[in-house]
Amino acid sequence: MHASSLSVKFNRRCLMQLTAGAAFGAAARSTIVTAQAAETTPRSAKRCVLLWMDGGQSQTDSFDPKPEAGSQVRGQFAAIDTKLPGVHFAERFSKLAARADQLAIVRGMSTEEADHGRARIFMHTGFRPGQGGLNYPTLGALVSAELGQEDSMLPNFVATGVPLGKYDFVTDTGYRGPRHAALVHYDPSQPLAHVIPSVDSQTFARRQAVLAEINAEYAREHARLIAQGHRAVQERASKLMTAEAASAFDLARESTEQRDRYGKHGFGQGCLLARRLIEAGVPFVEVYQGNWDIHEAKVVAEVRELMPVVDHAVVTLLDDLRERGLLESTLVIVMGEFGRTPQVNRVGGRDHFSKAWTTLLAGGGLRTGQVIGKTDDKGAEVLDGKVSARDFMATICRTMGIDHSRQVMTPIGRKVGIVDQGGTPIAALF
Amino acid sequence: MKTAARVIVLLLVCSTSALDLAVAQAPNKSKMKEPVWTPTRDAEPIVSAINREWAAELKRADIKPSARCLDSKFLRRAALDLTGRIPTLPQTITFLDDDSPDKRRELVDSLLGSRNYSEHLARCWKRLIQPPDLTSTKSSVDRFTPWLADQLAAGRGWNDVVRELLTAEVDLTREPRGAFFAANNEMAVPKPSLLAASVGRVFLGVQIGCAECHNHPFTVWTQEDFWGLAAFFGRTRKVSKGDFTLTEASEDGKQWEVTSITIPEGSGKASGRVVAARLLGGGEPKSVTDALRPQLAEWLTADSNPYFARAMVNRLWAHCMGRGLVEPLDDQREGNEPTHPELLDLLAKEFIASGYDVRHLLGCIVLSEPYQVSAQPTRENSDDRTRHSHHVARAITPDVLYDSLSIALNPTIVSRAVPGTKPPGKPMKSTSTVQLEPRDSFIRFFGRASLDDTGDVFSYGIPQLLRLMNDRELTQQPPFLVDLLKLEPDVPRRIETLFLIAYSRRPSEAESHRLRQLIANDIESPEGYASILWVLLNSTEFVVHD
Repeated sequence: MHASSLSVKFNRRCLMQLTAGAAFGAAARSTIVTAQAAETTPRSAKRCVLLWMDGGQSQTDSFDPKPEAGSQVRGQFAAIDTKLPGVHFAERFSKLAARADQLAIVRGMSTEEADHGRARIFMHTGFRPGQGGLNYPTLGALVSAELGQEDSMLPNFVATGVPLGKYDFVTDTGYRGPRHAALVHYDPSQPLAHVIPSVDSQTFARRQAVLAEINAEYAREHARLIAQGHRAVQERASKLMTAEAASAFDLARESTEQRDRYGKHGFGQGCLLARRLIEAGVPFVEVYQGNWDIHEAKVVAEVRELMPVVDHAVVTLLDDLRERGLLESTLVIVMGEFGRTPQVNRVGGRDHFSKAWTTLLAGGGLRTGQVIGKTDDKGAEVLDGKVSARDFMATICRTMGIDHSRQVMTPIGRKVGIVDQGGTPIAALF
Repeated sequence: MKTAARVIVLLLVCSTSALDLAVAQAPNKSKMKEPVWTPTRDAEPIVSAINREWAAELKRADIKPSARCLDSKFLRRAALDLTGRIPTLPQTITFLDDDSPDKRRELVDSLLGSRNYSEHLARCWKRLIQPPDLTSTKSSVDRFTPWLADQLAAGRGWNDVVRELLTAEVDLTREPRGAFFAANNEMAVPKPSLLAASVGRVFLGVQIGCAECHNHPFTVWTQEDFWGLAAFFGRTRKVSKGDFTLTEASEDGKQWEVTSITIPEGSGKASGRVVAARLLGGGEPKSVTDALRPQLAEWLTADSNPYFARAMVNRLWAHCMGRGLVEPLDDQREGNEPTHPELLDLLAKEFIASGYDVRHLLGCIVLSEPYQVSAQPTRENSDDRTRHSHHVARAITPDVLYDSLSIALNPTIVSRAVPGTKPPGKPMKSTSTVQLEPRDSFIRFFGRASLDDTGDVFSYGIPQLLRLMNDRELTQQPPFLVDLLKLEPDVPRRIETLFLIAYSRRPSEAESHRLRQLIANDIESPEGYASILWVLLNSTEFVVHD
């Protein structure tokens, strides 16, 4: 089966259904720009891929190396030149280094949570966990709520990758509600699970019709809120059972070349799935890659092998999106919950560190090819260009054309900002 | 339920519209006597006090509560909350057909006396102490549920249980009593900062964990408070590299001379500072040389502790009511006042006076009026979120869903004689059953819910509902349908049976008629009935606790 013709056909159909305005090349894009020029900046991205480096990637061993520092800071990875003069990456990220001109390297990340659980929530929501007694939506839920299509055949938020623990930090939609929960498709090499009914389609349709009546009656007579929540999710689940929708998840429809190009690794295949879904109009895809929690030398050795795999997959995703004319309209984020201590610890690892660390941004119409922020020569402090979690969230909102200063009403009747008070987008990117 | 015998007697006596069929548990189980719990304290004064405080708060806000819920709803709620599963058909029929005015109380006593009660509560607590990041579950944590269930079944006080968990000198990787330390370790070494944060969150209901690295703007807790508490765990270590027994003995065998802990690297500006053991709100260890954990446990579980009883009472309230008196559940502090301060006070006092009797407290809450209001809001109380004017509906947790599906898919049919004719027939055991996957993998897929999850949002997403609709295991034609058809000739009564199984109530005529559509001309084929069961198990009414 030849994949590309199918996928093009699928995309056109999908586009019509979604009217999501996925930008396929300049022509399509200009119409959208005209339509929405009044409320969003003309450059705003429509899609976002979050490549989540769970456990906390070491900035020193990746995008903010300290080749001049002592060996206890330098660690075991040599610094190499990048496409940007005077800017260095660590050696295991040579492909990203060669494309540094397409990246915004945010070296001034400075956040306040250094516990995995809390920091995951913090960096996914921009709010300290428990702040003001509210649960806040993750980035994916926020984008789903602000930019997603409610009647889309596809979910507005998909997460993929096999997590080490639970996925709550991805699936908790906070006050945005269950409609904006991520579809978690753990293993991208598998077709989407549970989309084929166990009875013939006629019987299934009859069952669904009666189910809809029963549920509607329950919603009228009983607990309305919960009934609406249940029905919303169930309707969308049913939409995913259509062949067209499910095929967007099916990597078998990609050519062998395409699949191999991303790397025969869960993360690479996750990136390929992200590209497929972005192309089909899903506004937010999160690809999870764990194992960055390098407390000791043994884990550093494992991460040493992981680095080039991730390096390769990220670069392939950027290349592929660009080739398809999607990179300008798709923001790609590479980040985890925090960085690592600049000092190597007694057992050859690095511990949690949130005071000065690095994230990468690419695509999305941003001004790339620049470093934002600077850390001191030991990597212990941000000297200038400090970016807080709320600044970071504001930056993503601005990139996506979402007004970060807007307030929304929560179900408990409280107004709350999309981004925590005081968040300011990184001006140099726009 | 009390015994299967009671069911049969009742069915024989009862000649009204009841079924000619009953679905019972497997016969060998039905003969097993459930342990009987006799309440040691009178719930009545407390129930009245709860009702009074609840009504007073509604009156202050000029809100009228929703109507009292129906018997069938009360049964289902109480079974879900107290035993973690829907009621079985014998339980349902017995309860619905019981005319006793006191039957709600009798039901609660019998549920609280069952093994399912203690296992359900223990499982909830396991989920609560087990952190999300615990990648390799230590067998101590795995064994924690049956152990805690035993303690609860024996009626041990909560203070006593917690004291044992905090002071255990056992192998933390294997012994269930070491589970709290296994859940808060780093590379099999108990970690004081994790332990302090967990003690705060789980047992005291205070968010002290934020103060690990900084002084939190909203709370009174300082880094000194946090590390002062953590210092109580500073000496606790495993005996040796190969021996995971928890000990506080110093490695060189000398007597301890200090109680302090050094704040480790990566804890903000205070890193490297030395902090002496100090209890929250002041108070130092009485003895420097004695073990510190027993001293901490003594303070923590003392009647005079301002947090301990309230934290548990708040969790138990939220467990039943869907929302804590203090929300978030682990955020007791000035500036975050309880919705019903007097109510929280009186519950905490009663909990202490009862010897920290969890079962007694749950019984009082479940028998109170606020527990028994309908989940259907009225026009005027629908905006209320804090006064319990209507019940907080929520999706049932993955554990409860798992056990409920298991009950609904695997009943054993017992034929029942028409009154006055023949004695009841022998129970018919289905030739085969629907085998669900192991609980753990089911829970992984449906997401872990803890006692911390409260509120009225529907918590499942697209993948979970897809699975309920299409999973082969869950949607195959369950074998019991063949028996149902064999033993019950009447179509409406077959439908009624399915309703009683899934919803613990009888259908209205309209509902029965609607579902009848799914049975094609061949009324003797199980397929149509399988469709009805599919609809019921995928409906809102099955997956929510309302």
